Amino acid sequence: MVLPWGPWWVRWGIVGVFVAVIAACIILLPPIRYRVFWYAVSSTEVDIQNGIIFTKRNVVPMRRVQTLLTERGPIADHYRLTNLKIRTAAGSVRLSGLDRAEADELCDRISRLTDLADDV
Amino acid sequence: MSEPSLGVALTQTRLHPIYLIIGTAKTLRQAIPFLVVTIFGGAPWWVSVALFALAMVIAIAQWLVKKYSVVGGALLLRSGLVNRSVQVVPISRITAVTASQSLTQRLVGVWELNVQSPGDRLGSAVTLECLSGRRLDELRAALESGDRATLLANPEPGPGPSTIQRYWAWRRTSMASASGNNLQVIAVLTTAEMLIATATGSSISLILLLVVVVWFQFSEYLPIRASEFMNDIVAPQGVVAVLVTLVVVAIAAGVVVGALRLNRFTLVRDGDVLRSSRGLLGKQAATIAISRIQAVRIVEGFSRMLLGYCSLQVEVAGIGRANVNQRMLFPLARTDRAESLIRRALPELPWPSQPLRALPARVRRRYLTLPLGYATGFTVLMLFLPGWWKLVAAIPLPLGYVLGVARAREARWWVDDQSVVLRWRRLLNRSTVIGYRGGVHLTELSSSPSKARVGVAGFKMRFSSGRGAGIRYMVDSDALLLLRTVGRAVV
Repeated sequence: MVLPWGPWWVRWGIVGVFVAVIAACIILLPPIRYRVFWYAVSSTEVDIQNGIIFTKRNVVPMRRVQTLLTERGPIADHYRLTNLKIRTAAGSVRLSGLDRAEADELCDRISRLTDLADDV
Repeated sequence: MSEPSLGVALTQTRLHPIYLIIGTAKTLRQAIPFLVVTIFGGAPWWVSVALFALAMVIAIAQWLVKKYSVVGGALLLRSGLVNRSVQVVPISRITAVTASQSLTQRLVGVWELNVQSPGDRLGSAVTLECLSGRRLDELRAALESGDRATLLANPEPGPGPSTIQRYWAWRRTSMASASGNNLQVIAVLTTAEMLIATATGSSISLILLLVVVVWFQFSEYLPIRASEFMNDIVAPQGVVAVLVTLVVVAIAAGVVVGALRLNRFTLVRDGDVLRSSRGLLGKQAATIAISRIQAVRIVEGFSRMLLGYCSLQVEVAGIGRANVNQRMLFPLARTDRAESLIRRALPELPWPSQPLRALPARVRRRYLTLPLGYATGFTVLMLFLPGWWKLVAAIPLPLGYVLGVARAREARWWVDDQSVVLRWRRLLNRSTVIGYRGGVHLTELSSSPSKARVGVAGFKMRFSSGRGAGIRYMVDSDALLLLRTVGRAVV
């Protein structure tokens, strides 16, 4: 028994709606997220925007980058995807679902551009 | 494994043996739940003794493995019984050094040393709990020589002595002799100001909450005299008398706590560092390198604002959210004199060249959305209250409106070549952050379809302390200007 009250069609209707919403999120959200996400790297900063309804745009000054972290799980590894985390002393920003080669190239580029002068 | 002899400024050294007592007390504190179960659960006495002996053994083992050293321009701390760890803090990365003495530490003549470095927002990078004066001096010599080695490796000229040297000079110098040593005393907290700081702080309300819970839930554990006084004299007068008594107790306890914490808070400028000292029974002295300060925060709590007071804090890498005491510049200052105090303490800090910019009317209206939304929710909930209590539902909407108007009116910002300033109100507190434009580490612009439609956006900036500042709604072009300029290197 899924719910302890109501006729069977109400109970299964609620479950159905719940499953449909989750399925819609799984199917529809990734392409929308892909369309609204962008990043730009210049010699002085990394500019990242993401978010579907509530958009957030982060700017990380290149000289503030402390460490770069790439991570990939087994599924992401299978599809040659990588998440890149750019860490500063104030916090971090994340670039999810990058192509592995693109992430490696980005990592190289940022680490070359980062000024390692200690001005924290 | 022994350290290589090359670059060893201080060999591995254990803490003062008094750590055995402090360590045992710490372990026992962690074992309180077990002790409560064994003592009140009727377990034989030897079980409690065995637990105590175990705590003592753990403390001895921790003391044996916990060793600090200065090697190759870095402070190393080895610790851990099961999980061995080595903490390495390069001396050039040390942003602040804090020494403190609790009452017990003061009685036995040992110090606790906290070393701060960037990226340790939740606490100190290294804490050495028990150091005798002699060991402190050895550590001083080692850190100074390590700092010199670092300077040789990185021959960038620095103004005057290092943070470490300044700190040790501070430890050796008493406040009485401060004026004779070319130190500039910026401000000293008077007794009256200390009382105001205590009365308008959060400690009294927290203590009140505690005593109310203790009286109504655990009154049988109170001392007999206190219990008799409350039951025989106060309780017969009614609930109001009991509450008034508890408030008086909370105020008295809060004043004592405030005196212990803030007594004779003294702020001193010494060359390129700021130093503060405070405390009645326990003593605390802190040193912050001026070059590490990225911003100053003026916090006006509700009650302090009514009295015309504020507190001053600094944003420094490694001194983050966890400890208010560490980031405190001065605990209480007249709001109209805060600027002059900051200017004396930090003449390098850039101030805005013009008055702060207010928000236009179309943006101000947005500030009503959130408080009125929450207020409507509370109003609906309160309508379900029984009887006359329903009338309480009339309160949230006017309160939400007042809060929204206040937040809109008080939000201000400014940016120029050197400085960035944000002022905002959250609920009761109003904060103003004055920072170096290039000292910000992370900036964020937030938007949504409804915000974008009316040309509004939010802006946030974060410092390496992990703390931030932000304005929820402002003109989107202004937010974009801040995003484009704040945090960039100043040419």
